Amino acid sequence: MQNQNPILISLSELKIKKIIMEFNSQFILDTLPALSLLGFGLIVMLLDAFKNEKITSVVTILGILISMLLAVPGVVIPEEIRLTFYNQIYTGGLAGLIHILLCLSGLLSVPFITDYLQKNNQTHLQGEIFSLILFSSVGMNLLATANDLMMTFIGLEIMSVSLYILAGSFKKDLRSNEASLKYFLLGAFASAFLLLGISMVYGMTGTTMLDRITTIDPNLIKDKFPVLFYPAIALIAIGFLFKLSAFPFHVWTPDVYTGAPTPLVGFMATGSKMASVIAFGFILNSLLPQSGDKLSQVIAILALLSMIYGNIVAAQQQNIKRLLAYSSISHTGYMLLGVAGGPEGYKAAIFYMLIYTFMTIAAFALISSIENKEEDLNYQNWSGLGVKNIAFGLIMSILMFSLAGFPPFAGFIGKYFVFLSAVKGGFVVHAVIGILTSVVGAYYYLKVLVTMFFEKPKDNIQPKTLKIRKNILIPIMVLALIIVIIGIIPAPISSYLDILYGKAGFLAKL
Amino acid sequence: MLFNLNALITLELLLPITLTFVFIAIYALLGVYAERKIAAFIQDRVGPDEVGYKGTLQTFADILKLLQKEIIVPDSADKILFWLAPILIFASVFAGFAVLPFMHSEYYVNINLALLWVMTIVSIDVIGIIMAGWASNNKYSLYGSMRAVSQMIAYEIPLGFAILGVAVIYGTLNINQIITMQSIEGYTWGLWNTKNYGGFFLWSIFQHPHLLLIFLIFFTAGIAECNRAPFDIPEAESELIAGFHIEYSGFAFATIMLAEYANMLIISLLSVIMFFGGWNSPLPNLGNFFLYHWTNGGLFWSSFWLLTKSFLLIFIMMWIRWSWPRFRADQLLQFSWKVLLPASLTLVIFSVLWKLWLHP
Amino acid sequence: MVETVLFWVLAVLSIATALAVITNRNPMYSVLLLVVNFFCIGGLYLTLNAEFIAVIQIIVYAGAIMVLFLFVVMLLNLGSEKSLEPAFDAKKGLAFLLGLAFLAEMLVAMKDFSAIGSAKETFEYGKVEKIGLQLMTQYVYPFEMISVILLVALIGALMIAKKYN
Repeated sequence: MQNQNPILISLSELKIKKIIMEFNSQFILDTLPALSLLGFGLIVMLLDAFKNEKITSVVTILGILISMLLAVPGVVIPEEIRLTFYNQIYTGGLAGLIHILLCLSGLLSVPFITDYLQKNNQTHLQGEIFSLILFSSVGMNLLATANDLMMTFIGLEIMSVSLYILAGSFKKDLRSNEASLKYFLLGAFASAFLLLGISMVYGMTGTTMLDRITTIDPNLIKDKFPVLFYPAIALIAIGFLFKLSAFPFHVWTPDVYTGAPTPLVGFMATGSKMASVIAFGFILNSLLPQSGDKLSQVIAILALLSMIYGNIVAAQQQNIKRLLAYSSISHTGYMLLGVAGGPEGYKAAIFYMLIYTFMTIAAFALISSIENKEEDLNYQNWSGLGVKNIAFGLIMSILMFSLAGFPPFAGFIGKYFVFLSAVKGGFVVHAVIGILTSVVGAYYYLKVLVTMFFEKPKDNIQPKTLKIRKNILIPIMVLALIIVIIGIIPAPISSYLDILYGKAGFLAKL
Repeated sequence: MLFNLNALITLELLLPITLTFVFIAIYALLGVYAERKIAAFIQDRVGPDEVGYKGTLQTFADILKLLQKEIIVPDSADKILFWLAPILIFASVFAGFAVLPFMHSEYYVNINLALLWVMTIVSIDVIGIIMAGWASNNKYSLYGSMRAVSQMIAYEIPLGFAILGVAVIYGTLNINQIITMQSIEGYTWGLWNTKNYGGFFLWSIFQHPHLLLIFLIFFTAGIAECNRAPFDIPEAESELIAGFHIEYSGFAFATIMLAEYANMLIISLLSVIMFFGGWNSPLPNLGNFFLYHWTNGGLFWSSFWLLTKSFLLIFIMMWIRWSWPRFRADQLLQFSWKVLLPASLTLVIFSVLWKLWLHP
Repeated sequence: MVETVLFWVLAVLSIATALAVITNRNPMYSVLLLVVNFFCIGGLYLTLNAEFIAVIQIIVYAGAIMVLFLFVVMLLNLGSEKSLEPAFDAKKGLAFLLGLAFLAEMLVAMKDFSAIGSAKETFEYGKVEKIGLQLMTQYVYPFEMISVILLVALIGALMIAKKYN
């Protein structure tokens, strides 16, 4: 015993009797949102197995809706966020809201995926794709609400493995295969970094529970491990920054986003990013007192680099999917700036993520509606398209203005909150540079619109399909409407986030 | 601790190792003779008849011949792996005996993970088979080893689930404990108390009815693990000449054969330990004839019963080999993945239910 | 004493085989050396009294995964790997230096890393019973959720292998 590390929770304390806690049926109720998603994933699989592929999309939407509804009570009566299932995972309040937000990206992409599969004669993939979407939503939920770092890793893997497969779901399409393989190899590599970091944190603190790590005296760790703590957190950060496609770890993003089936990219780019941002911010906040402020500075610099790099490279792209991929790197930068700005910025990042979800899913859905062959994705070929097809032009302009961050669209509100929190958190220079880079962003977003509206149409290279198919027109219009509404009256959502955030207990203390 | 590390370097462990090796060698010699005689009987032939009385010394003559023969290494073979393969195959099987008792005594490693350990270490011989097949650089041996791999992967899973079913019932992986529990519990098929009778009533297959099914799965998968007929696709003589060990001659060949027979012994020992009461006597008490108590316990009786039961199972294996035609490769795999695997999984779940609620 | 010797033998052997895995040009040898490496790591677990993990290490990695690797290598019939690019370029040199820097950092960090209790304290935590109890109480949620990863991987394998008409 005398040899034992003082900051380790003594092994003998963990007597078996203490570990065996009464299994509480409350645990099941608390995790019901995630479990119901899992259940519906299995149902969709079975439906596919018994040749009922046609209704899988309806069942998926139903499943996600039910799962969201199950999380609603904890959110509507704003309860405090609390731990459940032997302190493995958070539930109630903010955690419920996070679950609902994460489900949104799956829910919104289902109609577009259905349509895209029909268009490409790939309807036989429905069962697999929808069950994978449900499973990866489960993974996102686990990742974003985990209290145990092992839970984080498991959630991340469930999410990522599903996404690797989704990226390569069009087997005959070489680009889809390329996307899947690249994503898989690099993603597995990044996961290894994350795991190494987690094992180091465990070695130092003797626990993987984040709530216990926060209670350990920072000075004790600094005395004991003056050096080791930084590589540990850096390794964890690398794992997450990869999933977020932040600047030095972004290389997979353009290829994967270009190669993967278009509406699925919308899902991949939103849900996984939101879950990773939430988990990353949460872990960072838990480890921050241990590492001082240096960490948030590093994150802020990476955010800055992502913004600059993403926006400048995106400005040179011809392929609209590639353009959106690079712009997503810059959006990651904005979100990371929020994460670096402390708890206030973390809230802003969540809000930004929500808006980004609406915009990105709608953008990829809109692109998929006119996509027939490779050349259709080159926006230089879209000259005059806005005039020819008013609906397409109108919705595209809303999305582009919003992505560029023009008022009165939602994108502006998101950026406003992020920069505000960055300024409050002391990152004034970063915020200024961020605003400047978003001007570069405005350049290329508007260039798409200029091509669409003010250039003479060239008939021979234009996309053949100009009409947006009926079954996706309404969902896209709804999304565009949401973007406009949030842009005009953001107060209800943001103030609600405030209330829940205040109830999140220790999170707010940080 | 799995091993007492200090004991590794003492004579205390070297003696049992040597004894076990000698025992396995003699058993294999007799086993080959028995197999030939049984085959002859089933096929209405005479079998070996020249060397010694009724041919009893035939296998000794064979092994002498094998020992003298040159071990030919093919020119294009991978020399290192070619030599290593038979050693690895035999070593992995032989290591399994470390935890398998022949008698109720101190001379084996009594550990808590014994069943898992046997599963683990015996599964390593697949690697040896791959090495043998690949290193020989012969298309038949490569086919043979590829078939062996797909077969062994397929059958290892039901085998593992079968062991799991037993482990669930007895709550332990310790061989000694499993055998001891088969001498004290007393509700045959959960119906009537037969504690006073003892004997075969206490065997786990009679205590827990579904273990009979688990035994059938275990035994079937076990035969497949040994690459014996009707699952001897890897060394199917009519198709692949001799499978993965075509190129092996002399003592290297003898080693591989020895490993095969040792593997049979492992499977039947495990069966006896898990399902047939281990070293406990099968004779029940009848009235004033306390046959169970008279013939139980002690070194002689325990080793006698354990080995008798095991050899009976080996006899059944031989019987099956010479009575059943060989499976086709795809039937073989389908049988494992589509029949044995779901069945064993169901039985494991049933074991849990039985242990929790159904058993009195 | 025996444990110290065993530790050093296994540690050196595992590092040596790991290096051999990546430097060997014959894929078959690489896989087999990896098997040896897994055995050494299993042995290291044994010296830490983690007998269950040691056995699982061997049964899962050496017994199952590596057999599949060997199977794949045999099916693909790979020859010895030939190097396509020059043995050394600036990128590799930079990567090597960075790796070296990371190694140095880890060594500095680990310099005064005090051991997590002696082997005796961890004695009963390597037992199957204890691990099972932990998995079924404290870690039951992550434990059950790992099955989703397997399920998802299964769906992926099916999607790749399945022939759709």
